[in-house]
Amino acid sequence: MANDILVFGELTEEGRLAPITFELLGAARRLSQPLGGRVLCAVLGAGLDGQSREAIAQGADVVLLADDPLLQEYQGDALVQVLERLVREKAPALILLGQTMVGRELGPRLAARLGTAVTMDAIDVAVQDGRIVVTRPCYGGNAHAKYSFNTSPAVVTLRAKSQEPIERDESRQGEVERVQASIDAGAVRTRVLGRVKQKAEGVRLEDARIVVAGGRGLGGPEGFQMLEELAELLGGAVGASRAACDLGWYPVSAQVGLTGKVVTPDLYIAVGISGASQHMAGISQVKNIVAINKDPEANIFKASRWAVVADWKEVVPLLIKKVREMKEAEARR
Amino acid sequence: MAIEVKVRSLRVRQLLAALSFFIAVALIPLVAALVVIAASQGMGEATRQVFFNIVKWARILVYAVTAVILLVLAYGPLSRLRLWLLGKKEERWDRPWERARFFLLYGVGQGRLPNDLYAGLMHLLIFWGWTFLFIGTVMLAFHDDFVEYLEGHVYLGYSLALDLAGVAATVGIIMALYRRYIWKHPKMRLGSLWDDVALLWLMLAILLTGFVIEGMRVGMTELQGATIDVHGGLATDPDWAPWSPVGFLIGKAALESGASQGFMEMLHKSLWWLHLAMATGWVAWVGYGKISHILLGSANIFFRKLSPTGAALAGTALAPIADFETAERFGAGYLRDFTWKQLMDVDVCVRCGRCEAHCPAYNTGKELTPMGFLQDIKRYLTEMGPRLLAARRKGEEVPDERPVAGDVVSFNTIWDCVTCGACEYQCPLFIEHIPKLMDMRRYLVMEQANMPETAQATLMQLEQRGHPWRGTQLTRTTWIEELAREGVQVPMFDGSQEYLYWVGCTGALQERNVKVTKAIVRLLLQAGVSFGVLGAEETCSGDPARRLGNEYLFQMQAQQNIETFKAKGVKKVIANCPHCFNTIRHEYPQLGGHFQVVHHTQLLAQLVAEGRLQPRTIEELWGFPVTYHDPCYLARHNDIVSEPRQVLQAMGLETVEMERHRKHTFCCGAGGGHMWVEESKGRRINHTRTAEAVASGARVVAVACPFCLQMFEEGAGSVPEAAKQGIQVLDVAELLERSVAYSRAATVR
Amino acid sequence: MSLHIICCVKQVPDPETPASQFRVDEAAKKVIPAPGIAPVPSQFDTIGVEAALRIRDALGDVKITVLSLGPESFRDAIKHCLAMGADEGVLINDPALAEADHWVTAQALAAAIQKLAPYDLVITGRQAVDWDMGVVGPTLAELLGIPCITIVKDVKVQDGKVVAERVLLDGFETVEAPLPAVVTVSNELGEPRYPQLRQIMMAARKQVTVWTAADLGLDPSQLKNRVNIEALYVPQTKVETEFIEGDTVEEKVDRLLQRLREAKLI
Repeated sequence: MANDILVFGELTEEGRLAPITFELLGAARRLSQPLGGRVLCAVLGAGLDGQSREAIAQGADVVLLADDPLLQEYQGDALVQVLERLVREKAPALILLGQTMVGRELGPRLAARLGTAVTMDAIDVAVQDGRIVVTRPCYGGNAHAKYSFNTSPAVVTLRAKSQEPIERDESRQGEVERVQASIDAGAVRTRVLGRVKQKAEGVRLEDARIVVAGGRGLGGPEGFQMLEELAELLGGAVGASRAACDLGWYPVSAQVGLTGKVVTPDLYIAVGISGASQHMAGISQVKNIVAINKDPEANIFKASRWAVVADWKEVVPLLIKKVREMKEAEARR
Repeated sequence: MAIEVKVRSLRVRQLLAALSFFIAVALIPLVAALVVIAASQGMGEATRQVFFNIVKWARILVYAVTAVILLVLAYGPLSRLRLWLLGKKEERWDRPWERARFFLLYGVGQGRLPNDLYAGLMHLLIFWGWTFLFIGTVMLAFHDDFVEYLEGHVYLGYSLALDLAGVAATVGIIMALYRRYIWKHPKMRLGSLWDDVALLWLMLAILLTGFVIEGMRVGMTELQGATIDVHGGLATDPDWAPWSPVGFLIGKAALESGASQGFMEMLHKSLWWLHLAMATGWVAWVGYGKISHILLGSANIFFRKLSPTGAALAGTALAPIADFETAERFGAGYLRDFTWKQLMDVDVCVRCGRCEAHCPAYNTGKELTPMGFLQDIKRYLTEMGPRLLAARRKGEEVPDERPVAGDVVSFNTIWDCVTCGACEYQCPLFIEHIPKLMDMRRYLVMEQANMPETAQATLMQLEQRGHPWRGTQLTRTTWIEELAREGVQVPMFDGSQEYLYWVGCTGALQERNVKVTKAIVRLLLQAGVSFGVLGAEETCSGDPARRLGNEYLFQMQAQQNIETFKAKGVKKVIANCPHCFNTIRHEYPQLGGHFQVVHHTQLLAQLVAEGRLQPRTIEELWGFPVTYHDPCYLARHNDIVSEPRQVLQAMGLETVEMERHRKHTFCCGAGGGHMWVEESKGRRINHTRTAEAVASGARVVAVACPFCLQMFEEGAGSVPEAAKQGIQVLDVAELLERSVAYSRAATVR
Repeated sequence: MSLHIICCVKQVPDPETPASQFRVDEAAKKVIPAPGIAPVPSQFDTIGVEAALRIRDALGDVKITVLSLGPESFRDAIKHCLAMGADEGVLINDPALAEADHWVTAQALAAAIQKLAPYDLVITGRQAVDWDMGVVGPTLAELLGIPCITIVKDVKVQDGKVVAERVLLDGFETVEAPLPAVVTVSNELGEPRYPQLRQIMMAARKQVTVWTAADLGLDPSQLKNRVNIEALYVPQTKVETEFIEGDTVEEKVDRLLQRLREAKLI
């Protein structure tokens, strides 16, 4: 129907709906009222089990379920075929995808196939005067732009953590529509030759609820060992500023910032980071920043909720000690 | 057990250098006086028979051998000269009088040797001992073959002088042997080739045989009052003998031990021939191996780089590439890309290890060793040079020629250099290390784009943004706006002011350094100095680009600044960054920009001396000893060491000196573009230096360079001892500003 | 085998402009260029050129064409890529395309790529660092009807196929596609190389081909933007910073932990 919202249900490697899907469903739920349509959720995978119920509990009205061995692993060429067909069939007004490695490829390709409009990495979607308006950061987070669309449907990818999922409700009712994937295998031109996992243990930087990051102020690679200890205690991940990565103190894969990763943890602890704009671009969505820096005029403090003016070499060991005591006390209780 | 004489006092070293120079200067008048005395006193009796106990034709033989030996000697340097001419042309004979003066001071006077007290003393003893013996031998030949003047008191004085010279040389040689075999000094790391070792033993043998020969002669003639074959028979006198003290003792001992006349004659004769062979052999050797530094080193000092602007070292002002369009190669990649003088440098090095002992890169465990890379090039020049020469004659290429930059001399060696100038300042033979390393950087950067990632990022940043501080949140006018909010108006330079205050990228774009910039401006305003700033019109001086090997970028930046200066009518410049200061002072003239530059510490010292700034003791700093860290580009490259100290003294601060200070200062680690280029390995240079500051007992490190400030601040937080002791890092201007503000408050009160 | 790689590059306002200098003309919905701060080639695009150069380093016989859409000033970005080692430069410069959105941009670039045919590989950055949209690369693949591998950290051409390492959150996957194909590259690929001086001098002399929409057989009036920018503004991110006080560092740490617990963050 012309007012429906189609959510692309992204799956984890284990075949479960990824957290981003719940966020998208939450956004779709809220938008479905002004738009006056239903929330459709496309769940496309292989050997799926119970994910339809999950999608409904998280806010889907209709689950479009395609179960096909060809959907076992991510293949843009396969998914875009199925999605294009579903969109042409269901004619939604809005298609939501996550700004993930999958959505970043699927969104533009789907839009191009449909000849329609797309905006990426949105942090807000709203309906104003009956029109869909999308807000997204640009210029490395220095500016925000609002977009409207000249064509329908509108394809939008949403940034992770920008939307709240709804309260999970097991009693929600919805329908499950099984659809045929009918993938034209000949049109799948790419082939995955292999996957390599690079960071097996610990929490991924992008997923981490808490990120402890270090910069040039650490003075050397040794400081990062302490940050790793703290991050492990807090169940978080370690990030680094470009200055620190440039100096070879920490792997580039952990670089946070304009040329590295954009992270959205609940808590970001910046240690010895001055707060160059390049770095701030990577944490512009973080609400709770703790900055530990010797220089009371460091730029990072301007964006921080809590500022500790002190030498990190004194602060971090104390933090480690006290957090450990806290955790031990909790464990005893 | 090794005895290491550690005298760090500059005065002792300077005294020794002065003494050596005095001997050098006094030598000629001394000989002249001797001749005058000889003429006025008339002929005394005392003299010696020159070819005593030796066949008559030996005289002719000695002259013949000398002629041959001189030819052999000459062949050495000439064959090396052919190899140097593989290099490019370079003008090195301008200003001959100045060259002669340097030659006298540092060649004959050996002015730089006492920087290492033990080795310096050792070398001076050998040098002056040997030189007197050599002159004595020539004098003797003159006496024997032309005019007989070594008679009477003159002869006795002569004999005594030569014996003392021999003793001095022997002591020197023994010191050298001790240092080599017992002390095993680390500077000897590369200096143990067979010829280094053999040379010492040979010289010792020459000296000892000389003494024994003298002893036998004295024993057979003077001590016995025998008649010698002089003026048709002259009776000798035992009273003459003590005037040849060593010979006297040996001769006396021989006689007392009952040596027969025949034995003494035999010993004298055989040792005489041995002595002759060894001495002439030694002379021939002077054309080759380590000892050739007598000739080559002297020449190298004569041909040293002379700066038109008074730059202290060759590495102070790098040579420009004149024309990029026609340049066959940018920088030095292969042997032929070096100049003849650069190749000569390589040959001149005697591996004395002074450069290495003072090199911040080497001493923090990096690959670079100044004498090491010279030796690498020398080895390759010796191996490949003759083939290259032959190929050049035939107009052919040598297909397997290896590049020097990045191959013969390793990539890290080339990039480890912080251009601090310690090697050049220490080198007694004025070898020019830095230009060679920088020419190789030019080759790597401009021809191959082969450089550390951080260097690449810096150059890219300089090119795109005109400053090296990637990611800064400040602009060149932020500090001006901030001061304006405090009610301080910073004048913009419009040609009507006396000075342009050149703030520099770091002074404007780094939070910490902005404080220094503001302090300087407040002081200048307080003293009523007529000055203005360029604000947004400033750009990088070009020093980082040049020292990171991008000469093209340097010239673009420098030319742009020169044009701005000229358009605005700039005559005098105040710089707070010694690197900007150095570049504007010594390198802008190469591109037609002649400006008078003053470092802020110089100007502040002058303002204090004139009473235009009146500092007072800062009570909060009582009990906080202050040490002043000499920036390389002020102290070594520009001879500015006393002005910053005068400012500190005027504030009545308790000052202490670090072990390495003034022109012997140790780099903070940020020179040569290393403010932005990560060190390859080893301990961080700034940590080493910070530890040294801590060891001086200082609680405050006073600096005069924005990079040093950054480096010490980092070190103060990262070196555990510094954190424990609590080290504050402040620019001299910041201290003065506090002190003057203090006095201002006091006057109001 | 000769290979033709087309790299799409864009010139952008310097992304490292200090925040205090970043200004927006809200009425015109445009960023006001900061005075004295020159625009730069978009970083991911020069990484794309680096990727192409690495393929040439490995294979030898590779022609690299740099393609850009924008005003005359974009020539600087093309020249930079030529100095890095690219062979030819093409600039699509047409005032009628000045307001092009990603869709129209992709249309024009696709037309130019077809005019430059035969080609084997199209490389773009994962996004331009001005609008940070990241749409043009995949859209090109769809318009040209060729396969697409997005956000890769390594690209090789082997046996007539492109093999790329696609970045994943926890590693990467190796993906293969037949040529021609579109690849978008990410910063994990590595820093773009530093131009050698001789190439800078050569690039300065090289001609850049300039095409208009008409040269590409396009009628700008028929090219309609798919999105409109309704507003552009600098977001107000006011944060009340609390400086944690304390006589000792330990006190500060205690107080900080207390705040974090109160906010249920740990």
